[in-house]
Amino acid sequence: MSTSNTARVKLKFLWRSPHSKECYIALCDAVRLGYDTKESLLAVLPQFSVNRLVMGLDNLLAASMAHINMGTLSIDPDMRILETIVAGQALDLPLGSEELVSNDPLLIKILMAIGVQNPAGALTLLKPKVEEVKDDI
Amino acid sequence: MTSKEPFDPSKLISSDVSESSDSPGSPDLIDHIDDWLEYLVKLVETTDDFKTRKKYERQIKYVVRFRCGANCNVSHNTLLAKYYSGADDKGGSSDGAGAGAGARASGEAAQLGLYDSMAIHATTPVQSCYLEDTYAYSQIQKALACENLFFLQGPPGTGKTTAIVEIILQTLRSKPGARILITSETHVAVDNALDRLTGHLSLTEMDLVMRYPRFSVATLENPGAFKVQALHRANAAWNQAMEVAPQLTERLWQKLERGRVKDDGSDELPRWLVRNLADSHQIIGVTCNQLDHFMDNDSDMFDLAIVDECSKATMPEWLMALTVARKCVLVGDHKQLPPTFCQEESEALSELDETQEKLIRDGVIERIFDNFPKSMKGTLLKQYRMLPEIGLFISRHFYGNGLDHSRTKGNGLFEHFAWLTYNSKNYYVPPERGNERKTLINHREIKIIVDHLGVMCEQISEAKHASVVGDRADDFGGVMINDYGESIELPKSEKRERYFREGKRLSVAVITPYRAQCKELRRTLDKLDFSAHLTIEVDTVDAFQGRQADVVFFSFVRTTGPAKFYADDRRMNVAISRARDCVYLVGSIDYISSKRLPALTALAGRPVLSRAG
Repeated sequence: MSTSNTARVKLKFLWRSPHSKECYIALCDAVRLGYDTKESLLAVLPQFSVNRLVMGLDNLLAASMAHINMGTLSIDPDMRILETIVAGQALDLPLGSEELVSNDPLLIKILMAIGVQNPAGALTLLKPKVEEVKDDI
Repeated sequence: MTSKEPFDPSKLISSDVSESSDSPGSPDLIDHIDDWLEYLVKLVETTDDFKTRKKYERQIKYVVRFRCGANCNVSHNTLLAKYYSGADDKGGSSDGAGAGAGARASGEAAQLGLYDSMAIHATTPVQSCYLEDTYAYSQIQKALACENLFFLQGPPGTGKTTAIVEIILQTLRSKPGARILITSETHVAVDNALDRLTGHLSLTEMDLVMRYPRFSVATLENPGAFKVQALHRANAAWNQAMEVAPQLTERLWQKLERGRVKDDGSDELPRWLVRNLADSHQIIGVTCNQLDHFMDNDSDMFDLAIVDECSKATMPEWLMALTVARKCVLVGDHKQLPPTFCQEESEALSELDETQEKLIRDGVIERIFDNFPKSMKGTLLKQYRMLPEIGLFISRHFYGNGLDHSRTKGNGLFEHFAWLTYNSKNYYVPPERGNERKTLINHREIKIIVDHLGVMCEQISEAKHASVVGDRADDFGGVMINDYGESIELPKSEKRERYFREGKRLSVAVITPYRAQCKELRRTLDKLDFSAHLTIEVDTVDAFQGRQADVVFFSFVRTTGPAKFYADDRRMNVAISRARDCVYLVGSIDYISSKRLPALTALAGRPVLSRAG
């Protein structure tokens, strides 16, 4: 019986700004439910301070995960995928950790394969966490 | 300086700092901060408890931030560095213009419109009590007029909390948008300040206040203040959201972190919510160590931080508040007890060299206070707590006769400052000699205290009865009709005793320097019920600082051996000055007078009320 020598890594995506994750989620859900103006957002999210809502929205706009048109907000469909991969399990990949660390082109390919249309934008919100899987065999 | 000139690092430092009077070899503030860092790192390495380790890590984070100058107002760094090293050479500590370059720079920046100046010139007090005590108000005016840093010394009962409330109210009056942090090493001090403050605020202004995480005391002077607790604020926010957008709120309630239930059954709010709530509130009350729960890189800094009981806080603790505020008012009294160190902390301290250990143990508050110029420090001198007999003792022995006294009338029944002593011949506490672990429990003193509490209850019960009779007499113009139909005028003593009405309970503090005695006292008193007439608190002297009671029993415990604990004037100051009306010194007067320490000798001269065999 032969054993495979291929290195394996676990790739997980985390929010780059962990303190903003609740704000991202709240903003996206609110806009998806039709609260897409400044006034309506401030009214339906009293749990959040204006400062943090502005900063969260600023990050989403900068990452092109939110769009603004005539004072009306919309959330990019990519954002759903981002929320899912952050909440989901780590990806098991047949790669060496050194291949992934600081390798944005490869991360972009992986994100595109998952279905993200704007992976560069996604990487402004997410950061990868790479963990090598130790094989006991 | 042009680019061709040689680099002189000393020019980077404020001219005030370079002029400091310290000798070349003496440690400066940076050395002291480094000592603290060394000590905190040792504690992190040795502490097993996760929460305690987190606390030390937070302190390291803030101390490093301050050391690097990454705090809110760099003037604090230059001022502390300067006055840590010595007083201003030009004018000494009496210099009125000694706010230094830091203040000047801040003032100039304010003039340029870079930010609002925090110097406030308040001519009229908000609280009417200051119309009479004009000296105290002058000290508050100095604190308000200060741009960066002020130290207000408040001896026992001199109205520190009232002063804090006045400073906040004046700041709000002058700068309605100012963000204010009320902090202390203890929850009780924060609770007191917020409780009193909220009594002066309108309903709209109350919405600006938050107590994080909650009040530690069960009863408040202003019960309405309970709604400023973070949990209430969080519930209000969720309910408001639920009313406007139920579907969204339900979804977020499911998706977002909700906090956890702690071991004691109380709810802990998730940090994301606490950070948002803190951003949305203007006045926040929190202990120094919990400050980091809601401060992150995106948080707004505070315009004013008030650190109550600062001399009881360790340097990292008050530095945490200083790091996040533009102006800081330190309120405390270095003549009372310095920070307490637990056994683990003491062990880590003993690994440092002797000078480092002494500096860390004693704190630097006294040193900085002595060196501060007059414009940056003030002292409250009129005490409103103790009856003159107790107050005079405290003033004479611990404040160089500097205190004035306000109260003249007590409860009428218990106004002693005297001994309940006993014959300690052949009664040794602790019984052990040499290096054995000592049992510092004195059962004789416990019995004396219990007996006296019983007598007090009887006297109060009689006084209450007399009060009922007196009330009836009042209905007839202070005259009673006896069984024979004759009219009798009530004696003066009975009129006086009407302090004790039905439902009135006298507060009693039973305090002792030793934990073992404290435990034993609690165990004994828990079995007895004095609750009809007395509310009794039992604690160590160190833990009781910041609180007061009508009657204080001080159990000395020892009848033999060294009086190391009593030799510290600060501890005796705290012990005696907790009392409003009455101090019972419970101990062996022979042992205490044999110690030949000034404060103890004076105490031994107090009258003896009873002597047990």
